[in-house]
Amino acid sequence: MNRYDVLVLGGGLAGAMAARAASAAGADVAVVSKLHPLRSHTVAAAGGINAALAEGDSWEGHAFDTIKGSDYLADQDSVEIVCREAAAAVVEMDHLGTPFSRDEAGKLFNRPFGGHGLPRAYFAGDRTGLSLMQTAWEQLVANEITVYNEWAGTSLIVEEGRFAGLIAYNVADGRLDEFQAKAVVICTGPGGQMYGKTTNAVTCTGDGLAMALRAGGALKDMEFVQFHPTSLHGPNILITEAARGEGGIMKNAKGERFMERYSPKMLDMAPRDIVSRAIQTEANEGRAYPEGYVDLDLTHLGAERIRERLPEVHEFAVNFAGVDPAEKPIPIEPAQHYIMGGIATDNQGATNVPGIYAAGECACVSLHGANRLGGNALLECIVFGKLAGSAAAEFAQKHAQVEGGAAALSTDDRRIDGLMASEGTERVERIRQELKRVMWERVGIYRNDSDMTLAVGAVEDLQRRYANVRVGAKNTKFNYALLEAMELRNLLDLAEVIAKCALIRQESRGAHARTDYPKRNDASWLKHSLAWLRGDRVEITYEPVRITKWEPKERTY
Amino acid sequence: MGAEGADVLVAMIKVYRFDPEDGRGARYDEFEVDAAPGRTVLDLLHDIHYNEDPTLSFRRSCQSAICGSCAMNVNGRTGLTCSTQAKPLLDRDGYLVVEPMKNMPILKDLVVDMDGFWESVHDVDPFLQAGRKVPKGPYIVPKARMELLKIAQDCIMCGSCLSECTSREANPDYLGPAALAKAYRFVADERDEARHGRLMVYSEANGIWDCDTCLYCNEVCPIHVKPMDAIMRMREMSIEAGIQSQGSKHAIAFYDTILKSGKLNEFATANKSLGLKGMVAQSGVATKIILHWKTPEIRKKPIEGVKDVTKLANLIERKKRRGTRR
Amino acid sequence: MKYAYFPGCVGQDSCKELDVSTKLISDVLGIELVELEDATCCGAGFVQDVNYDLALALNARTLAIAEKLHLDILTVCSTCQFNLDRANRELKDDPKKLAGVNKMLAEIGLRYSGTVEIKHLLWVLVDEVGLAELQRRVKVDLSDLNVASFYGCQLIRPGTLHGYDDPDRPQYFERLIEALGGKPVDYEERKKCCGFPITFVNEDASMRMNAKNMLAAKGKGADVMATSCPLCHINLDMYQGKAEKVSGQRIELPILHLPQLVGLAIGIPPERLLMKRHIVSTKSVARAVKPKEEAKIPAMGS
Repeated sequence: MNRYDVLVLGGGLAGAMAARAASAAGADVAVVSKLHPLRSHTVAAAGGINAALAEGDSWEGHAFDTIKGSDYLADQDSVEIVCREAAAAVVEMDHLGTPFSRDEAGKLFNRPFGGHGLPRAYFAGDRTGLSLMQTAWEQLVANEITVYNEWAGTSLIVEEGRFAGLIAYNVADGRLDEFQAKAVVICTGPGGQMYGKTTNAVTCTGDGLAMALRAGGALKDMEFVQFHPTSLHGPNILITEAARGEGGIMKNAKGERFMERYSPKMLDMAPRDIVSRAIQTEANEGRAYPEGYVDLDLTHLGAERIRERLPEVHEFAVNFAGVDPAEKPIPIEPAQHYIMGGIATDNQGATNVPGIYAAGECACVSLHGANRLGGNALLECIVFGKLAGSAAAEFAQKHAQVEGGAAALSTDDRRIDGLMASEGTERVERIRQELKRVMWERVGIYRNDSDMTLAVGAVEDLQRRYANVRVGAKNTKFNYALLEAMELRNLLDLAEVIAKCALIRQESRGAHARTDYPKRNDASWLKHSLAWLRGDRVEITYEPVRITKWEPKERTY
Repeated sequence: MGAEGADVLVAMIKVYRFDPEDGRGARYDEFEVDAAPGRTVLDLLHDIHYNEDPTLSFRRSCQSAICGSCAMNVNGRTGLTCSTQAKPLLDRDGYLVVEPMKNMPILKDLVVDMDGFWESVHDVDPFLQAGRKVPKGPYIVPKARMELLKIAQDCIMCGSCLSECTSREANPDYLGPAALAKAYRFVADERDEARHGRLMVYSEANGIWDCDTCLYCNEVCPIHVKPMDAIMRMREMSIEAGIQSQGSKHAIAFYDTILKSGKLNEFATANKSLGLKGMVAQSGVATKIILHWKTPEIRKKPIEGVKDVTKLANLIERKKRRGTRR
Repeated sequence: MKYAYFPGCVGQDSCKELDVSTKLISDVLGIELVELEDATCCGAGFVQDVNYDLALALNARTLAIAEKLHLDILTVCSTCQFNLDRANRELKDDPKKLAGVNKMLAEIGLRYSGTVEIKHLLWVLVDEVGLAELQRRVKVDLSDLNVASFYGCQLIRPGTLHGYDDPDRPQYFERLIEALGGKPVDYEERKKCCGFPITFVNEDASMRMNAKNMLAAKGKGADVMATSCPLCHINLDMYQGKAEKVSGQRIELPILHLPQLVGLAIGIPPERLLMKRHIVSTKSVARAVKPKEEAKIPAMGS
């Protein structure tokens, strides 16, 4: 029996910072992670982390840009917390060793990021996410925090209305085990693998979101899915926004700088949703290349500047597309990148289920509202990771352990046995590919009623077919086929929530763009969706947006 | 996903298989795959796993050469399969074979036990040990000095270097390139106050002096970290700090003969670095050398330009004292 | 073909058979060697360990001396090749560094402007003398000889430095062996490390490596091993006994230097190639060399 005060599910930046905070607060912590922490998708975050550190900048400026960027759906008190804390967060990470890039004099160097009035993204070369993740993991090592590597959470145990523990599956030997604790911080990160084109890792299947939903938590604002405008055509590897920050220019197949049409002031540095839709419009209207991509031209920067400032972009272009960015433009297209929505939490990371906390991309406080600005995700992981970790530790101190995980353990055991024994006719991969296709085509960048209605039906149909799925691999050690089957269940549940929430929201706001309701409608829709699992059905309720200082205005750049 | 418009290119790929549960032992399975231009080795493995044999196990996640999950031995060289193009290897060798990383126990198929790898990394205390003088704001560290970390800071801990490390193969206790690169990352970081203590530990057995400079790590690192360069820098730093070890003894003995005569005095170097006891232990080798008239010169005649050596050494010494170092 | 000859240290000392055989075959093959008698040691990585800047300066000095002669440098040691190449590349890629080094060289009356190339004898033999010419020069029948090459790490890695051979599939040595009429042995360990750099630090590990390489070659049928690095030669030949002890297996593999193999092929007698100096007897090699036709031994100095 594994017994702790606080569990952290997921070892990425949010999880590592949560674990560290909980440990510092005196709790006996363990991290349970599907991957080794350093493999978490945090490491793929390039570009930077925002903070109003520079002279002439202010947290209010950062907050305003974030709120405007969110198309006024962000909860402003949450934004204030993060923006006020940002400078301290960056300094703390620097003090812990993150090798932030410096100027000649030794001061932190920042660069512009889309949607921000002033340059305030701090970075470590092209690999800010990697660097921050390294620092956070190093702190786990320094503080000797226990990490259960390659254990995938399967269920949250809720007894007497309170969190009692976690069931997890050990990938290495195929066994299930129960972890008892008084509180859990869910930090499982992204869940974008339901989309055909995504910058997410193959392992980003939103497990924590699905588990929270099934445990009685609410998923907030799930209809808001961000599409990153610049992913490398083909493998959809993220090409950092910083490529445009350094001066890259997007051109359609005719060689036009098409952003002049969509965002005359900010041009290529307009916020992501605007840029994604711009590229998609160019594609829809026949001005992009036949496969749907456009050019990102870096040739005018010169080989040396590209190598120095954007080394990773250079590598990617060469290794994955066979293109030298100093000589030719890079083919780029939008891809799903981030989900603004997530497990609904308060400003301490607490969900409506006592003992269950969440932080990072899998949570929705809401910091990002309808659209996230670049550089705010890493920041959220650090600030809310810490807050949630501390809050979870405090909760654990004040409460006794609730007993009773046996039922949950045997349920999950039976589920796995069922999957392994199944002689069904459906293949996991087939269902997965169909899901990805339907979500990309019907609940993607441009949405409308008939597409989304079809999507809801299609997802429900795939869920029925899932009941008949066969795993095809009987071995116990490193049975990734079984893990994929379990992940697929999570993807299907989340896809259902996303499609339903998107269908209902009859307006366009931030990343949620409807051709049938092209305008933002604050009168009816300035509110957050909350998706619940009641019995077998997904039910959606709403809650108001928390406004403090900034009155919602039209969002133009 | 293959390259747009490219034809399918059917090829055979051999994949190492091992399942401790099935009693079949290790074997190679052959699969037919599409190796069209643009397809990576990971693409091929995915095809096999998803469409043909779901029992095939391999680690992977980001598919963008940053998480380090998918390091495997492909056609004899360890690297990230997600960024290894299949066709060029087929063109060069006429075959494709994927095996698990080396120097690590095999758990199942292409999945290896990385516990030993992580243990070595943990052993170097891979976290900043800040001093007491922490500034209120960010540390002030000039760009040029922060960039000293560049040769090591981006390590994604994929294991490729350790897989190819010839020293680790011969000595499983050797810390290895990834751990030592990580060690350097802190030694070179101005914000870390434990430099001397670190160098002392790394100078002990199985540390920086056990690298055989085979260059495999520098060669295979998919993220262009230079572990060997990092190790070499730590050697110089530890000697400067006056830290003694068998390795430093040898290097200094070698160096002193160069200062003296411009060329290596093999005999003096062996003598000084091994000491009397060591020389006696070499008596078997020494006897054979003597019998074959292969003894090196005991005294080395200095080259004509030996004064140049002295002059350059002095100039560099002066430069160092003035604080301009590389 | 005229080169500034960088003999290295070991090649003129405990392995002086390397220097002697280099000169003998160069003479026959028409490679004119102008010996850099005043050049220092390349550092061999050990000077670099103690004082990297001095090693760089010393190698810059060597390059400057060669540049004065308007000649490229020829090396006969993988370690020398790497250290000179590395220094050369650093100076060529970094004008500031070159300027700084030149300031020091000025005080000893020298200057380097980055025009020198450094080539190992192996590459010169294959690329400039040429395989066809070598084949033409072969005076004996080596068809009974299974030759295992041993490059020495620093000749083939890193791939981005030297630019001659593919570090994963080096072929220069094998093509040379074939041209000379021998049979190259295909074994993985030809690319690996001999262990010499850690012989004085961890002899056990060094000997394990050492033994593994040679046993692997033997396992694939090698009668003889030929190496392009005298430091490798020390481990392979001088320490072969120790390798046998540590591995508990007999090895008995004669180890030749590259120019000795070439010399044998073009008809130079083993005695003149100083093959008797080797610790591990090379008699079996001499015996395996058959006359091709009426072997004509070229007169000295022709």
